[in-house]
Amino acid sequence: MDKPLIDVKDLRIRFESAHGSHEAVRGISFTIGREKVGIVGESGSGKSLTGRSLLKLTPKGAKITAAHMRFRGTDLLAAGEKEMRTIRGNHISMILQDPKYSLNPLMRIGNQIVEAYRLHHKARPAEAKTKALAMLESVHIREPERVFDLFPHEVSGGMGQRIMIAMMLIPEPDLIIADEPTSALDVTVRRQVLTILDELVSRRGTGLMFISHDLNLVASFCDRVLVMYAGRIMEDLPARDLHSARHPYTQALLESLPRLDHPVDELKVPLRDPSWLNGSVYHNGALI
Amino acid sequence: MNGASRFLIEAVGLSVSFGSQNTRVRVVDDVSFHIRKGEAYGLIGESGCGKSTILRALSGLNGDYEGALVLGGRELPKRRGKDFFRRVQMVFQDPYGSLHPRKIVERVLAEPLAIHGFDRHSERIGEILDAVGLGPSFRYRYPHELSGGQRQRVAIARALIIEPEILLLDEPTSALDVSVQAEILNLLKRLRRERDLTYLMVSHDLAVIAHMCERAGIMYRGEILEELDAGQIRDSQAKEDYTREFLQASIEAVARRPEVDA
Repeated sequence: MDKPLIDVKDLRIRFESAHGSHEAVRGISFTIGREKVGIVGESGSGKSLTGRSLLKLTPKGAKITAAHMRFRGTDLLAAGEKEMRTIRGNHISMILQDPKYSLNPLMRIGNQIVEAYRLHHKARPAEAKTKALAMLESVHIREPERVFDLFPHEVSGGMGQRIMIAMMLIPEPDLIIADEPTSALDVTVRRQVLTILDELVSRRGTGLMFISHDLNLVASFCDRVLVMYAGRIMEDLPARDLHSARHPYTQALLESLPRLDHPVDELKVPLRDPSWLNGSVYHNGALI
Repeated sequence: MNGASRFLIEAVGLSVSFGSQNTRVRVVDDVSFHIRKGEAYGLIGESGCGKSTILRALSGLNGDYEGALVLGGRELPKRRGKDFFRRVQMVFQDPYGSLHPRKIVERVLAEPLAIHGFDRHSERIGEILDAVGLGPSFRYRYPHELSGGQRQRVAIARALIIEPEILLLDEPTSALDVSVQAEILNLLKRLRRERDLTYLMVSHDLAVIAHMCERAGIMYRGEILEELDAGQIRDSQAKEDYTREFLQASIEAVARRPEVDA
């Protein structure tokens, strides 16, 4: 296939504080092409930070270093704030977990989408509105005209998340970073939102970085999965092979889930092996 | 009222409405269910189906309901007395929001003891911390010094320290990582066995309910569509269309392995 959208090598993110430094992401390398890549891990594994570092939206104290971190040839490490601003939204956009907090509560939904469009395209208000309505329709919102004039608190969580997706897709980015986009949603709504996301991403050939703690979801939704633990990628494998994962951590995570088809009295709690911190990792089922 | 005492908890024709006059919406509509002593009963459904509203009505957080809630054969008054809270305690969804940020664990745990006039505060706090798997070192910590799982353990300890019979669990693990979820679910299972507790658990996660509860009511738009036992949930034996769809949506995500292996 063509060149990857994102090419990261040996990415490290460190926080310096009075108590010394703490490395939250410790030397990870990955590429993302026009595919759906899932990043799974528990809280604190560094998965969100990795996603944010691509947009340089990490907290102030974070020190990012890498051998290289490229987006379609642009060196993200060297890019200044001005350059980043053209990349954000235009080329890489981000869907956040909770629409309740990521939509502006004081602005009508339609206007927020129009704003997103006009920031990146030169368009007259009327034209932008037509575009926004079409976008709302493409995320399967039944009465776009009505929803256009609503405020975020007047829509449900599932609809809010679809609005977020509409807003992030309207500038037609090359890559979408979705940070737990469906974990605030119900199972039935979740499926609907994912179907829409999948539809739009596949149709436009957009790359997707899907950050989640839900292994099953990632296994069924993504093409490839990166399993993160303590700031490292423990395993990088095709999603369909997730259930035959080699790394003990991935296996333990899978076993800790309550399962409908396999009743157990007590769930397995993953035991953490300190040797994983610096131990070997797996790539496509092979040790490296 | 006779015969009702076979059940520890009973809801008879429970309805809850919000809003006034023409905007009034019935969010729980004529719901009836019962829970035997020592049983774990689950309520499953999507957000907005009324499952948490039932829990809030039962726990006394919302006294504005119609119908009857019966505890041990006696109808509960709309305003619950102290004796009710002595028997029924609740664990909330969000361990980050349910602990006072400026109280150390010891103070959090001492409060219910003082309210209900218990003796031996210090020993009881030590015992309960031990029971929920937190060592004595956690006693003098603030919530911000604890992880999500540890906070949920403190919340469970706070509920259990006055030795209630019933725990109301409102999505106790949905804010936690899977590995921590496994720990908390194991803990709740063990405590129920050891202390002969009765659980009413609300969740949107079918696998969690099937793991924890013997029976569950599937809710949709304020009604319990049907009751299934854990086996029926696992085998997707549902009569109602909605339930079948809901089970399907959940199973698709959960039971992926057989398909993959095939």
